[in-house]
Amino acid sequence: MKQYLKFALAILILTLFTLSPVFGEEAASNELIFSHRLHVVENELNCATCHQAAETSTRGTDNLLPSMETCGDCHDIESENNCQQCHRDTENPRAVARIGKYSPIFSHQKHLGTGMECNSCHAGIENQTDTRQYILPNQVQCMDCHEQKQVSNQCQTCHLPGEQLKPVNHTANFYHTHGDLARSVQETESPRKPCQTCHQDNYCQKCHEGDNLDRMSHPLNYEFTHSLDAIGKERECAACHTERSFCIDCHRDNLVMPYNHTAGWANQIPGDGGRHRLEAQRDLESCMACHEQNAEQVCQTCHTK
Amino acid sequence: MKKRMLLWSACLMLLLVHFAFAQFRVKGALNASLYAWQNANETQLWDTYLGSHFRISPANAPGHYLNTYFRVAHRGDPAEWEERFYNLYLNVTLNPSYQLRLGRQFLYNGVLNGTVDGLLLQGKATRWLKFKLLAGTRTPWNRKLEPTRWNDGAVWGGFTDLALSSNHNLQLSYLRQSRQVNGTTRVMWEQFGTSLTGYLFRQRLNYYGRLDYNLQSQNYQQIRVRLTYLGRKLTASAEYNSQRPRIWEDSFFNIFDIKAFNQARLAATYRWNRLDVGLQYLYTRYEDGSDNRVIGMLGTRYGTFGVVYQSGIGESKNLGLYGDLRINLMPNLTARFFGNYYNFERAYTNLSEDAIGYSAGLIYRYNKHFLIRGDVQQMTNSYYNHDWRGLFHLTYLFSI
Repeated sequence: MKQYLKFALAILILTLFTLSPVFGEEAASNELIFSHRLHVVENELNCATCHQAAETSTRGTDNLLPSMETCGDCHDIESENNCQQCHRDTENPRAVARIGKYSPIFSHQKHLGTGMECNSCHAGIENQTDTRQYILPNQVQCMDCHEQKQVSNQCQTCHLPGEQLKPVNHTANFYHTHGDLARSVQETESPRKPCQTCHQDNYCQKCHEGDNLDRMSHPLNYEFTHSLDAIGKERECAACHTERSFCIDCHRDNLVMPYNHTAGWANQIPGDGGRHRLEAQRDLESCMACHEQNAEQVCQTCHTK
Repeated sequence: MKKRMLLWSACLMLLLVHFAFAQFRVKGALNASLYAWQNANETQLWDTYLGSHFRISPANAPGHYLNTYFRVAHRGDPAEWEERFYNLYLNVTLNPSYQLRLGRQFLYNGVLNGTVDGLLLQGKATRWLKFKLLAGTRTPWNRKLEPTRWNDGAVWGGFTDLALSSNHNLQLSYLRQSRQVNGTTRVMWEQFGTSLTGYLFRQRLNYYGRLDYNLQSQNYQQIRVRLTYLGRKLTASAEYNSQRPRIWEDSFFNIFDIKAFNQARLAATYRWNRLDVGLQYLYTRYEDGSDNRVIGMLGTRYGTFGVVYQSGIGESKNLGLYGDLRINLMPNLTARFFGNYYNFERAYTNLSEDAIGYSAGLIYRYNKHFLIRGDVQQMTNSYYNHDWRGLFHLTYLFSI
């Protein structure tokens, strides 16, 4: 086993060293030279000096980035000798990339009208020394603030009717993958949204520990088809059904014996183990589901500790 | 038990009334369900469920709150009352970076998995490092209010999340469960978990690698590696999973050489206008055989339709069809239909069986507080020719 562990650790360390420097930060380059720190902290300019339209903006699709003419209010933009002051590529000068997607019904006017300041949502922007990273509140921050100020957190507060709200990773395979995502994303800080953005604590428990009345965990008739999933390893029964007596209680009460426990099950010829040997190698958990309580009597007849 | 029920209900009502008048905010839901069905002896059974989940916090300190989710049920044959407390904890925000949580809570971080009665400290040590430290006892499987005694199921563990950069995270976790046997501590479960996850290429590509190591058996419990492409229209993933069965430390089954199964999964979904087309393929390799499973799915905003085909183990063949439909008849009235059909051939016996299940129901939103739902269900299988069932739900959402 030590070999397995060493191998896994080696892969892990190799992956870390390989990926971190290359993909660690998005290689988003920007042609424009601009420092919020220089303008806001060192020269004490107000946000509205450059973003005049923000105070009256009522739509999230409004372009609130300053135009070159706005820069021209303070800088000499006429002289070709000054191009390199703001542009790295003076041959092909470009504007800052616009924020492509934001809620069309977001209103800066409404938010500023409640006494909020630019810093409430864009904290830290004043210390930015380049334009590569926008500082925008994510959904979690918006919802936290709405919660505190008792503003509606309903989906339609920010989203339009008919908008696709289901995350892109909630696909056909999500039933299987959501556990890994929940284990890992829950505590990470990134643009990815934790499950709690849309689901509360009890949402997990309704499926994982609940009564299955809503048929979210298992469909109708699952009592009769569950063996297909269990043996095919489509789902992991032990993820939720941790109590030892869960299977045997039902099987014993209803006198349900596995159909494969027929002649030749234990032995085809004395001592060869019969078919049960192969089945046990495939799925020991299934054997344990019923024989955990009487294993010493049933198994120890042939197998000894 | 009825007295107990009345006492619980009275306490709950008093609590809610008190908080309504005090400077507290209460947010949650009350649910009542009635499930009517017939057992094999054709005895009519009525299962009743009453549940509630809510969160109470001081109006001026939303970081401190009491959270709970519990239900009582009258069910079974003969029917008996039983209560389940899924969670009941007090959360105290010590400062913006640290929180303390005391009581019954559901955890799902690395190998910290399940419901625990105990104390959890979670915090953010630096911008890049978050952690959780846990000490408590394993919650009784029937979710009774009385916790397990420390000597019968002590649990402690930890979880750390290290952000290697804005898009890459490394997680380490450890869980140990022990109990006292004849005065000595016996470890029941001890695992160490590590996972590495992150996004590449402007979050188009997600990778996930995980290793859970069982310190008792000195063997790995699970190895999982997955790569997922998240495009605007196409999402696709490839996964390899090697997993050993969970055998309890005091189980007789520990005498056997415990083999892992190995599984490869390929999955893709293509979003074509408002239609999702999905396909999955699973190949599972056991010690002496293999299993193949193909799952096809069509999804629209109105519902889904899927096909499952499985062949392999014991030369069995299984075919399943399922579908659900959700139609808004009126702005506050929705009709729901669900159906599935399975034909499966049991290994070795060549017995072919059919199982059919379907339900039809209505959901009515009376206002933003009340939701009423009714379902009629019918099942046919090798045991029941016709098994009719009825389900009625009433939900009250509140925010005081």
